[in-house]
Amino acid sequence: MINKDQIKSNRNIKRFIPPFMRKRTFAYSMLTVNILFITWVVVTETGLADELFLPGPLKVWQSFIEVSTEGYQGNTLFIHVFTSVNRILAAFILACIIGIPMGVLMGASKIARALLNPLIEFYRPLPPLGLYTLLVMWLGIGEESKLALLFLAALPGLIIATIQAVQNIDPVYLRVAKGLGASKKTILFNVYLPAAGPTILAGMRISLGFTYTVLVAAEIVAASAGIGWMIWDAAKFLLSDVVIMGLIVLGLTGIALDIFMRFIGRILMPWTRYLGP
Amino acid sequence: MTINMQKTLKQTKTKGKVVIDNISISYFNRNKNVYALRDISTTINPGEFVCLLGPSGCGKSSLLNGIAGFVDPSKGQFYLDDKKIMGPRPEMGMVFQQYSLYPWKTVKENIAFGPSINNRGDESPEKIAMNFLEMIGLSKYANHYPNELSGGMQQRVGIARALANYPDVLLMDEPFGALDSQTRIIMQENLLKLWREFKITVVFVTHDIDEAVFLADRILLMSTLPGKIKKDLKVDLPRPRDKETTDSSRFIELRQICHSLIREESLKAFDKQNQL
Repeated sequence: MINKDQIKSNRNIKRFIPPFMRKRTFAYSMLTVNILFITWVVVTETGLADELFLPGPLKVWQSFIEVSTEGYQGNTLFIHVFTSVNRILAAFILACIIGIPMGVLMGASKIARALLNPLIEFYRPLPPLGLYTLLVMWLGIGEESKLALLFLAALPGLIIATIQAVQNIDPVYLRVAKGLGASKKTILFNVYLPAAGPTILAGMRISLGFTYTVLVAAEIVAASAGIGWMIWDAAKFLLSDVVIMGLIVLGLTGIALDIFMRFIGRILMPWTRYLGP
Repeated sequence: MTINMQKTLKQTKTKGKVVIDNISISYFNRNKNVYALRDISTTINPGEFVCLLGPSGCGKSSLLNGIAGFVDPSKGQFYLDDKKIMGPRPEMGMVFQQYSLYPWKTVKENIAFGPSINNRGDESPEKIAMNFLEMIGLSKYANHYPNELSGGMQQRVGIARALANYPDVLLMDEPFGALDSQTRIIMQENLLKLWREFKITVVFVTHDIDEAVFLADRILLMSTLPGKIKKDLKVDLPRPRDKETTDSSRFIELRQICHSLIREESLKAFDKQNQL
């Protein structure tokens, strides 16, 4: 006899698996990945591509093993990844702590929006490298300037998404709360945050992606560890296998973090798991 | 029903008088001051069931939002039990058209929201919510989210949420407008049952004549552009009302009266729109 509780718990686990993995479309995505991989193998094996610039999967895999065990420039791959992910997460979490409340405030109040908008709108389109030179002058070449650059990259997307989220809240939700006699604090935690939650999460995911894009720039100067720095350093010596391996590893950590965020979102916002009847 | 609830009901019996004193509500549109309502006065007595009936654009929703304190009148004053209404008050519960339940709260949490804000101490908000869920026959769905429920069930929860705050006045803005006609009739009968139990004042906005005649003690027929009370119609159908009420000759007669008055207004509104 099949254990009923087991079935139930299986179903419960299934609820936490991101829906995209459960769908047939996921198989199609895998197909694309496989085609890309096969193309890579064919192009390198037949000698169509110069091995100096595009090494084969095997070579990249070997460099993965090598850097994992022996390290690159004194640090193992794990240290490089750990250092970079640490930097990204520290900056990103700080950006969330500051950006989300700022966005809620700016979304709810026209005056706050007018006051704070110039702060983000001005630097937002600036290229990260340009900004970084100034940050290095101000904060030195240590961790501070790196974190600041990552932080500044994460912030605008978060704030803009949060403003949008708050502004798009159905006014009837606010009326209900006011009609029941809710205080501002109650409305903030019971209406603003949950109503804006899903859009804020989407903003967080985009923002984290954007933080990744400036990682290499942030680790160019005076770093001795970090996956961005490793890629940059390896490129100088034309170690294309290390560069490609680094990019793949970096991409995979990004995907892992994104899945993790969605997972957290599904726990914090359980109602998004249930679609209509 | 618990003892506590009955106690509350007795207290509310004498409360819930709404005075509408010479109210005008206007808004700006293309630099022109447009009156949604003009010089409206009436008194709604405690425990009375009043329907605001009129074609769309007659300002019946504006009047309701004014009573609720969501919209400030440009002239005149609303009173609740002889106190000026200066903004939304927990003494008045509002039921909105649809989709006003919080999708992020379970059915039980939605109903418990009001009681948790206005903590009266005697009973936990959860307990109150469960009592109301039993009353509307949705105990099974306590831990479901609103979007798992049908429209009719959602609106029952919406009514329970408003009632769970023990208001003196229940304001309803076309609450059954989005429901199919069968569900609508059942909802109307259920609403009358709840109203009888709670003995509270109800102000109910609708453009459905049958609905207004079936539910109301009094129908305020509204005219358009600007909105005024065209006729204050007493509905002298016996209570409790049920399916048979709608077959009675008096019901048909009253419906006829409303029908011709509304038609006049609709035509007028239609012509005016064409002239613009």
